[in-house]
Amino acid sequence: MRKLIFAINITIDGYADHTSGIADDELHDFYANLLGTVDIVLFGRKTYQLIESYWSKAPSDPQATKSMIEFANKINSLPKIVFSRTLDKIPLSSEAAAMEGWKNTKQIKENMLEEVLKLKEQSGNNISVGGISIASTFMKRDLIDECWFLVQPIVLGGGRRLFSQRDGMPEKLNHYNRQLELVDTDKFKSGVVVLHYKKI
Amino acid sequence: MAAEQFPETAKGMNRSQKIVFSNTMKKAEWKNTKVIGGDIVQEMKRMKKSKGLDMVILGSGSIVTQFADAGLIDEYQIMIDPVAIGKGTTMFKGSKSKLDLKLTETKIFKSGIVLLCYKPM
Repeated sequence: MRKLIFAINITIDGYADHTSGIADDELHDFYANLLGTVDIVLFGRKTYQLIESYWSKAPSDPQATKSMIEFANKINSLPKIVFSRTLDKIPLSSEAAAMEGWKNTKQIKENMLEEVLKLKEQSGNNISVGGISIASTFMKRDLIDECWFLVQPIVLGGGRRLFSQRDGMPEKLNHYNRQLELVDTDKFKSGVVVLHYKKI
Repeated sequence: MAAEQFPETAKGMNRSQKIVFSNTMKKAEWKNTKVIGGDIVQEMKRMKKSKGLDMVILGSGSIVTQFADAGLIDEYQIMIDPVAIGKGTTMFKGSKSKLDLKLTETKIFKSGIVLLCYKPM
């Protein structure tokens, strides 16, 4: 069975905020290496659009470092699935529309969990998931096999949290409490600490 | 109860000077305990200038946020348990400004707990 993996930047106080972290070469290399182990990426709608809007343009961005371009090439070339009930058609920038990995996006509107289970049963490399909301849902359903938290040396005091309670969630999932196994840790020069866990 | 289960810790806790920051509590029964209310930030500034060993806050989210916002905390030691939960109280809740820290040390325990130590920038 393929593994579903999840990696995210998080502040010391547990907020997942993509605008406040330190995104240096070491961090981009980490994510590029991780994407080297996957052959499909799942996204929630917001994360999909966020990633597409920047990373499809990064290869032609004169400010982008080598590590950023390597990450961009990885993310731009991988096939994708976007989970969205609201999008009718997936809008792509002209850059993304010229890239196989973005053109090769499948939209799934219903039965998200069944679709993930089906994907996991197929043969292939790891599956990665991006997006706080869907990753939280998958986590609570025990679908995520391994996760990496990149703890940024920052306290924010507010923002979006992982695995938080949500309206419409069954009560037992809102009282989610799951023990994980620490696999290994790493440290970046920036002070980011990588915590790698797997499902027990 | 703690005296039976963790006698050394209990002895140390009983012996240590303790301060409770509270505007409602008038008097603490536990020995070696002082109650301080009012402007606790000013009080902490004064306490930091006085002679003595270091002071530690164990938990106590609301005062941590107030002291962190005022730039009065010199070292943070945070233990991350290998457990994901969907609710609870957050650290630094209501903190007014973003705080950039410098990682000074990490330690991994056999249990899977990771200790992260930081200093303010």
